[in-house]
Order: sequence, then C-alpha cells, then structure tokens
Amino acid sequence: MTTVERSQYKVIGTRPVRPDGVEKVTGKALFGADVQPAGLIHGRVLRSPHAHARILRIDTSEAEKLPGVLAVVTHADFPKTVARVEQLGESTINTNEVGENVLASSKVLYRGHAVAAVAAASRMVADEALKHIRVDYEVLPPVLNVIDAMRDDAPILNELLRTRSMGGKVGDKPTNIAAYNQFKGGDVESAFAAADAVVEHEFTTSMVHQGYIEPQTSTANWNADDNITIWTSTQGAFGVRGLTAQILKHPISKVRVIPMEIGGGFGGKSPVYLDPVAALLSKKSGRPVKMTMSRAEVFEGTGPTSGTVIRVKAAVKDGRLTAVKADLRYEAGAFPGSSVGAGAMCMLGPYIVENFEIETYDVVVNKPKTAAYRAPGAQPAAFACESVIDELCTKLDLDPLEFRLKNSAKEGTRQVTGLPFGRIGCEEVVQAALSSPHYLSPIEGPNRGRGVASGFWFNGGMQSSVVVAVNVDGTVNLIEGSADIGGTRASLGMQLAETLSLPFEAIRTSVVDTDSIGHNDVTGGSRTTFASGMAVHEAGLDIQRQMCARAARLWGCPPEDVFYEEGVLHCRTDSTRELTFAELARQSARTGGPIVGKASLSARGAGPAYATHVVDVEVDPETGKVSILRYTAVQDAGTAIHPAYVEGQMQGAVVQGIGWALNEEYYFSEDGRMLNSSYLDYRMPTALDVPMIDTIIVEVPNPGHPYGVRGVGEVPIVPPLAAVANAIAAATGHRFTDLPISPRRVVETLHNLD
Amino acid sequence: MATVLVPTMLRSLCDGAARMDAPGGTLDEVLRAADRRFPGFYARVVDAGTVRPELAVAVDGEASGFSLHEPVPPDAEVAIIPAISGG
Amino acid sequence: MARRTQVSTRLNGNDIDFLCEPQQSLLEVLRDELKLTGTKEGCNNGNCGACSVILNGRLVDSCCVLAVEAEGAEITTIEGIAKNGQLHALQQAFLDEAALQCGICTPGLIVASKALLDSNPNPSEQEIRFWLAGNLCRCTGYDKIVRAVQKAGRQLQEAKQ
Repeated sequence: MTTVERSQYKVIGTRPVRPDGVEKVTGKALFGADVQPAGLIHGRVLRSPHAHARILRIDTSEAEKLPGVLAVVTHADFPKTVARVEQLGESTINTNEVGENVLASSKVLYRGHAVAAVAAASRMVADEALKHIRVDYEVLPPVLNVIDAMRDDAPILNELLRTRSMGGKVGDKPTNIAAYNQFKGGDVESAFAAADAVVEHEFTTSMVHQGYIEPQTSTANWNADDNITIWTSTQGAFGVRGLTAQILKHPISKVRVIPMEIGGGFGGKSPVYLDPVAALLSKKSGRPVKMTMSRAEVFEGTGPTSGTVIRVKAAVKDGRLTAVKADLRYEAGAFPGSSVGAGAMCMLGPYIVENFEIETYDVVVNKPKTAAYRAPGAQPAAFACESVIDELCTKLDLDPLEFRLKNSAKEGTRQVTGLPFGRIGCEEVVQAALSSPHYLSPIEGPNRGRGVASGFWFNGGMQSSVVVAVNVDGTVNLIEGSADIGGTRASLGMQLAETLSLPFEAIRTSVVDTDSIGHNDVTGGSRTTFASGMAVHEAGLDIQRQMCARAARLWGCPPEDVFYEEGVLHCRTDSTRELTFAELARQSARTGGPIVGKASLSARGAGPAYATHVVDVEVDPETGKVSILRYTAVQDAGTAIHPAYVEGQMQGAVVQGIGWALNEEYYFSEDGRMLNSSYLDYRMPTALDVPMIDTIIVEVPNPGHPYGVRGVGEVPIVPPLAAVANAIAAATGHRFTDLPISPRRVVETLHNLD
Repeated sequence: MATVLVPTMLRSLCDGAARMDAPGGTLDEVLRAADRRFPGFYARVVDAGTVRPELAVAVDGEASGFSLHEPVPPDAEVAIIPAISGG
Repeated sequence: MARRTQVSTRLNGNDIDFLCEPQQSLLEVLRDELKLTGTKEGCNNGNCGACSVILNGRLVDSCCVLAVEAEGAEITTIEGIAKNGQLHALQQAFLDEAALQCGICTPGLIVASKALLDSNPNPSEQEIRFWLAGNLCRCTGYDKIVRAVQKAGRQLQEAKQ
C-alpha cells in the first residue's frame, strides 16, 4: 500500500459540518432509548446483592403472577452452550462466559451480576415484579483486589480456572490467576548494577468506568417466524449480532441489529449485556421489549476497567534509559481477560530500551467483568513507567522531554515483543512538545508544578465493508457499517470525496444495519477512520474504474485510454472528449445501469500513535484540590482528516485522564458493594474542573494508509495520568503513587509529612 | 527462511532461544518447522486449526487477521504475541 | 395503576395537555408520552443534566420535576430551540465549532446554554463553565463547547446591534 502523493488535499484537512450534526443539535437524532415500536413493553433486570455467592434456587413464580407481568427469564432459558471462544472482531470472547455474565447460572461473581429479568407493561411494574423473585444464595467471602486474590488461601471464583500462559497451562490447582506472561530482553540486573540512578516504586490504580452519559439500552422484537430485530446503542452491530446469536443458539441470518446513534462508548459498549435478555423476554411475551440500564446499573453491571498494582524499577546511565523491570497485576473482574498484556506491550513504546523484564498477571476478583476503556491496559502502565522516568530525570537533573527525545523509539526500534517499528512519529511528537508555547513558558508561583508524560498505542485494523452508489445527480451515497461515535460519517465521507475529487457536500453517508452491509468490526480500537477509510478509498477507486469504463463505452475508445482527474473524465487520445462526474452519472441508465462500487477488507498497515502531554497544576495544601492551570496535548495523527474531530478526541481523552488521575474510582465496601454508584459520588470532570485543552497535531503520515491516517481516539488517554501525577510531584515535592490523587489523599499525605 | 521470534514464555521449550530459523512458505509451515526443532511449539500456538484466540501472530510487524494459510515472505520475521483489544 | 391526572401546559410555545401518573417525572412524560425524545436520560437523579429543560424561565433537570408540576407552566425543550426550522445561534455554533461528538449531552447543553445567554448575554469563560457544570459531557472535554457558547453569545450580541 502506498500513500497517495498529494501536495495538498482538497477535502482532507478541512472542517466541514458533520452530516448528522443538525439532527443531533435539534434532538431529532434517535439514540437507543428513543426507539418506540408499537406494542412496546419494558424489561428490568434483577441483580445480585452479593459480591460472591452460589445460587441455590431462583423462584420466579410469584413475579410471574403479578398483573402486568408478561415474561420472566433466567439463565435456564438460554439454550445450553458449550464454552466456545469466538473471534468477534477485536478481542477473544469466551461465549460461555459472556452468557454467564449476561445471566448468572450457578454462581454470582459480583454485586450487580444479573440473575433474572422481567418484562412488564411499564418499568414501574417490572421493577415491582423484581422484588417478587426469590433467590436463595449461599453467600461466600468475596475477594476484592489482586493481592488478596493471588494469595494461596484466597476465595476462588471459579474452581475450574487454571493459570494459562502463552498457549499453555501453568500450575494445576484452582486459582484466581487466569494468565501469566513475561517479556524479557537483555540483562536488567547488570544494567541496574552499572546505573547512574535507579528508581523503584509500586503504584496502584482503582477500577474506573468509561463514564459514557448514555446508559446501555436494547430493544428486541422476536417474531413468530423467529426473526429477531434488535435496536441498540452499540459500538459494533455485528458483534451484537454474533454474540446474541451465539448465546441464543440462533442463526445469525435471523438476527438483525440496527445500530442507533450511540451516546458514548470508549470500549464499554462493545460487549453485550441486555440484548440476549431483551430478545428472550420478547420471545416469551410476544411483544417488543425495551431494556435500559439505570446509572447505578451501568456502574455495577457493565464493564469498568481494571484496578491495578504495578511495580516499576528503571535505570539510567549517561542519560540513557538502560533497564526497566516491571510487574503488572490487573483485575480482570469476574471473568478472565484484563488488558494487562497491552499494558506490558505499550509502556516502553516511546523508548529504546535494551534491557527489560516485564511480568504480567491477569487476576479475577469479585467485581464486574472488566471491558475495554480507550487504549485498554496502557494507561496504568504508562502512569507507573512515566512516573519512574520522571523521578529519574529529577534525580539526575535531566530535562524530561530532552530525555525522551534522546531515548526516543524510532523506525526499526524493537519493541518488547521483538517486533520492529515501522515509520513512527515518536521523536516528532516529543520535539513538538519541547518547542510548544506551553513548554517554553515559565511556570511560577507557590504550589505550582509542571509535568510531562508520553504515551503509545498500537491502533487496530480489522474488517470493514462499504458500498458506494452514484446518484444520477452526481452525488454519491456512502453506505457503511461503523457506528458514528465521534464524527466518522464526516471523516469517511471526506476520504471518499477526496478519492473522487468531489466536494464533501456531494457525499451522503449512512450507517446501516447488519442486513444492509457486509461485516464491519467495532467502532473502537482507533480503527474506523483508518480501516473503514481504507475501504472507502478502495470503493472510490472502484467507482473511478467503472466511470472510466462507461465513458470509454460512450466515446467508443479503449478503456485504458480513459482517465479520471480532478472530477473529470478524459480521453488520452482525444483531448476534446471530457465528461464531468455528474454528467456521466446522469447518463448511467443509458450506459449500463446504476454505478455501484464496493470494498471489503481486513485492514493491514495500521500505524501506531504517540502522544506527549504537558500540564501545569496548582495544589491547594489546605483542601488538597488540584487545579489544572494549563494543558497541552501533542499527538501524531498521521494525517488529520478532520482536524476538529482529531482535536476533539484529544481533548475528550485528556479530560477523562484528568478525572482518572484526580477523582474517579470505584469505592467498595468490605463486602464488595460499590458505594459511589452515582454521578454525584463517582466524580467525573465537569466544565468547571478543566481549562481549555490546547492541542498540537503532528503529522507523520502512516505509509500503510492511502491518506497516511493513524488512529487517534485512544492514545490521548494514555499520558494524562502520569502527566498530572508528575506535575503534582513538582508542585508538592511528593510523588503520589496511588490513584486517584483525590483531595483527601493529598491532604492526608502532605499533612502526615509535616 | 523465516525467523521466528520466540516469546519469553516459550523460550524454555526452545532451549532458551529467543530467535530461530524456520523454513516455510506459509505460517503453518513455519510453525510446524519450529515444532520439528522443538516439539510442543505448534500446540502452544495453534488449537483446532487456528491460532489460539488469546494469541496473535505477526508477520513482519503486521498482526492483523492471519489464517494459517497466510503466505510468509522469505526472510520474514514471525512473532507470537498476546492478542490485543482496543476500546 | 394509579389514577392519571390531566395536566395542561405550554410546551415549546404550544398549549397541550397530557395524562400522567403522580410519580412520573417530567422527563418520562416528555419522552414516553409526548414522544419528544430529544431530552435524554443519563442518570435520572439530577447529576448529569442530559434531561435539562427550561421551566418557567428556569433551567431544571426534568428528571427531578414531577410531570404534574408542569400544570400551568411554560416549558422549553430542545425541540423548541430552533424556531420555524431556523437553527438557533447556539445550535449553529455547536455545529461549526464541532462542539459535539456522540451528541447525547448536546440537547441538555444547548438548553442550558440558552438559559445562560438569556440571563447573561455576555458571559466570561468562567461564568460559562460555572453555569454548565451541571451538564456532564464525556466526549469533548468541554473546550469546544465553551468556545461554541462564546461564539453564539457574540453573534447574538452583534445581531442586536
């Protein structure tokens, strides 16, 4: 794949208004909970009050008798499934475990674990019916953090679980350690012995939630002919289709998933929670069933991200990062599969380090099964590693950005996996941060400090499928299957416009359901503008070829003599022959029929992304409040298709990171109840908590994409945790190694030191 | 001749080697060649005819969606890494 | 089912009435009975602002207002911000400044911003942030939202002159 050589793009790089914008600012856009098919009834879920318990008996008979109740389901209503690991797009999923998470059969593994569901004439009646479902539990002691879970005498979540490691089994007794792995290169101990400075710390982060404002919702209709329609807010309609079909042992051809507009996902809306349940309730009641989670259910019953314990030891000699030794322990939640592997593979991404030894543990605990959260796994690992590097720089009086530049990963640098980097923009990003107005400005005043941190993310490829149909007026319909969470209708339409040399306004982009387009993997993994964009480009080329063939037929000349340039078809051998795109489109009926192009691919050539952030804070020693004074996010976007939406990804991720660093955490009681499951007490940043977020987009085009695109959505959440912690260290003289660095923690720590 | 980058946890199976030569025109041939040198290697990577879902195989840096039939260029580097998901 | 009450109210400039049960919130009635789904539910307990509406000139979370309280009141929802098919300056500014990503918080934010500009036509950045602190957005980081409000404020001021 070669990057199209253009000295200047016509559409790419501009900032058109997104095509779905008017609907969204007028409240007309339909999100998942807005759909209201005729005859709709409402479903609600009964959830375990216990963090760990055996289910002895579920008695739904009283609930079923309640007036207004039309159906009740439990796990017993699912067809028996054999554990089968599915490759559903971007992650490996054990369908048996998904079914267990959707409705528990023999054990509940976290408070909030779904146990039964009711469909009734109204939400109120359904909620009332839940109270009439009797569940007999044998309560078991819960285990709520990785350290406790790894002890020999820890309560075991799953007696059948054995530690796995790179395709093999390690150990033969029941355990909570689902997986172990190592990355090793060189000789860390010799490097530590020879170092100018060595710093070692242990870090902890708490479980946090993606925090999307729209709760999960699913509306399902199971017809008498066994055709199921599901309207849902999801990052991936095809994932919902596949998982729901698998759990219900239903052919996927009889499941149609209609992706509604989605109110935020960040990885948390790729998994399936409500869809199979709503479908079953619809089957039993014969009515369409809508299920929407309450905010508390979203916190307690979906997929937050892992709390972690991470130990990092690093050495510097002659200004070079010579060794990093790390131990990463991540909470998987109730079922195996945290992103600890990604943490290990990303933390050294910005550096050349020859000696490294990283151990990873994926540990189950009695908390919700974790799901992806925007660069999953990378953020806590970067928090730890970037903090240690910061301290090394302070110790050796090295400028932290100059240090990063000197030790920067480059094309050809080997990662901890052994894989060499292709063309990357790591150095360029650090350089841009170094010369940014923010970094060049002084920081003055008491209790103020500046921190920097870098981050890395791979970015995904995966499957995309698009269809392009030419309208007789010369406009073009782009039919695609990527849920539009952050402006991808625009970024994909722009790439098609660029390919066809048409104005952006000529492209009409639709996101369609699973019956209407070939398979598309999730909108996530920073893949959509990249992979769906690649498909769009190919489909555009397909249209060009067809247009040339049509013109050739019209002009009676060989097709190879016709070429398309700047929106006009020309004939090489006769310069008087010319047709615009619109003129030829008008004649499609008479030149062979409708002109429709397509492309389907499993995208390769994804380019990794780098980010370096600079932040100034002020810490109030009395209240412990940390104010963000100024923030600059620098990032390599490859090519910024729509700069405003790239900026938006950066700014949004930065603010999520600030929340993660300063306030957000799942606060559990000793018996495993989340005590702060509301937006009041799960404290996400408001407009008042943050300043303007300055952004600097660096463009080091990705040679693997025709327009040089690199994914942008995830990497910007990787640096903020450490950047903020490093700034607080500069402001207070104290390095906080436990997140969140909440006002209480600041006050307790600083006052203890006095 | 492809080179297999041996992940750390499989090195004890491979006499401590971090890299090994493995001839083959497809991914499957390369992995089987590695298995002939170090029995048990193939089964660590492949199960029921596909690469184990918790793993990914990267060929010359590209880790996206390979089947075992994937042609492997001569002098390619084949790495075995944990599968990654995005969010 | 409890006996339903008939409520008469002025909604987006139109006199309407609806039936509701005593415990139903205004949010629920707007969405489920009146089919005005532009107002969103994010938390249902007054913490996220996705359900913001203007009630008798005052910005409120409609999840915290009982539907019966709408009796005799004047209510503006997101559906009433654009007049005669013409976007309000705020709506246009949100579009032009790319102040929305997923869009779920957008109706609440536009209603809240309108309430701000109605009472304070020339707010400072700090005043905007303070006023909008009751509207959570998880996608944008608020930067472009604040800029959009500033821009709309300026435009409305200029239009008056």
